[in-house]
Amino acid sequence: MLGIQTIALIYYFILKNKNIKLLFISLFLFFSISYLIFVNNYIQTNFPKIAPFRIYTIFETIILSAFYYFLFSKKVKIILLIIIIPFLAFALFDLKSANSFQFDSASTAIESLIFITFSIIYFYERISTMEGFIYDSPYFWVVFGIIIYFSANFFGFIVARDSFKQVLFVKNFNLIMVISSIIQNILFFIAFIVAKQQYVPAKKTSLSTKKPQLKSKP
Amino acid sequence: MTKTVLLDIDTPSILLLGSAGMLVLAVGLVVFIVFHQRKVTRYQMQLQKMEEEQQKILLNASIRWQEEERQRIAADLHDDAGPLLATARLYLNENLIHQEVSVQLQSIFNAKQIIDDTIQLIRNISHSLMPPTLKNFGLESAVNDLFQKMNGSGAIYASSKFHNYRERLKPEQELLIFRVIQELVNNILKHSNSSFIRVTQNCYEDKFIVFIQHDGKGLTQPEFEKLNRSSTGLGLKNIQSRMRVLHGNINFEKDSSNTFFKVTLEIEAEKEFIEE
Repeated sequence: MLGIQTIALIYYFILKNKNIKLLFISLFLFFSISYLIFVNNYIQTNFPKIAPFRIYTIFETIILSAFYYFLFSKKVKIILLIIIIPFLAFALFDLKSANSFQFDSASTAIESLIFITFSIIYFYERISTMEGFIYDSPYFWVVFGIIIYFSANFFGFIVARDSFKQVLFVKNFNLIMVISSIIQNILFFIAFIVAKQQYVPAKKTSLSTKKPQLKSKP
Repeated sequence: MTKTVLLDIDTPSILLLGSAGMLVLAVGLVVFIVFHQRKVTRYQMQLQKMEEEQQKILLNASIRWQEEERQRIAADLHDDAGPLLATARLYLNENLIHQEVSVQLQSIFNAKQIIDDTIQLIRNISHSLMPPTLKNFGLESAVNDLFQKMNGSGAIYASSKFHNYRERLKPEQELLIFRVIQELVNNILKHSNSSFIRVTQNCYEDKFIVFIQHDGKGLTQPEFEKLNRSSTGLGLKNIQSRMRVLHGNINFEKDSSNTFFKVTLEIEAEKEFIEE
């Protein structure tokens, strides 16, 4: 995960496109928080501590919402805000009121549903606009990674609240989480490669002062 | 108690199965989207390529037509006007002053006659490029004039009715429409073996519409498109390219009664196109 963080940070400084910069800073934050939680949960103790998961849900929602916000058309942006703001309020309320050592099944399940839905909306928008092949965009691979992660963990999130004390469940839950995270990271890597391939440096001439541009828009 | 045990046993396996199912669904959805988008994008690219090819064919046809027109004018000038002027020059040579007065008068008269013929010839060439009736009196008069000449032969009956032509279109638009009508009428005369041609003009929602009906052997839209794509059919390609310049549509169809063929020209007659 540290490797991905570093790559995301390097890409952030190399690329000039504002949207791509946002993508990489989002990924950097995402992986940094993931890494901190990973260290907290798996190195210090054998069993995961639940409390950081609750804060992580809120952070994750904010970062992914920011990523989707810049990805969508104006109409979907408004829908996104209408859904995310009440959800964040609910997640904060859940964080304060519920037992902090209990898994926040409701928040994470709703969060999964929200991002699966917005991923499908993104795919639908891309199909409707028809600007070249869908997989030529780095955003496609990021959204693909997100949908894989949330789809794979959706069931786990729903039942985690009541089943976290079962050893077999925790084992399976961790297994699914790790596998889906690996797939997600591979897809994020592909996004880096695609973004790099699309990066066209401007020719250095005495008259040209053009900044490097991406070949196609998202 | 049994229920609790069942829950304990089943939850992890349900979790695995459910997660695997969701994962498969998500991957399936994305794969379907990618393949569907690829298919549609490729189809669009193919359409675009076909469109480009069609435009290329039309451009070639237009260039060929221009070349043929130039050759025709060059041939008319070289074969007809050239010999006439050379003959007139012969009559008016230097030896004429040594001739008798009667011979001189005869020579001048002959030269004048030849020059008159040349003027007429050049006028005809000029009229074939831009019919004076069209220029001075508009499309309705030009079509009537064309049909009057055709009716004179007695082989076909041609008539026209302009219902909504109070304001004239731009001269270049009128010339293009006239050329399209001329080419279509020419095709009807050559290929259809029909006994009548009827041209009707109307306006509908800012559109200038011309119907051409005949009772001979005609074309339908798929046949027209097929001929347009083939390397033959220069006249039809010219019609198509002129319609493109006019931002108009052309539609070939068989009349609902199955006795007539109908060609519909639909041209955008926006206000700026209409002469005030």
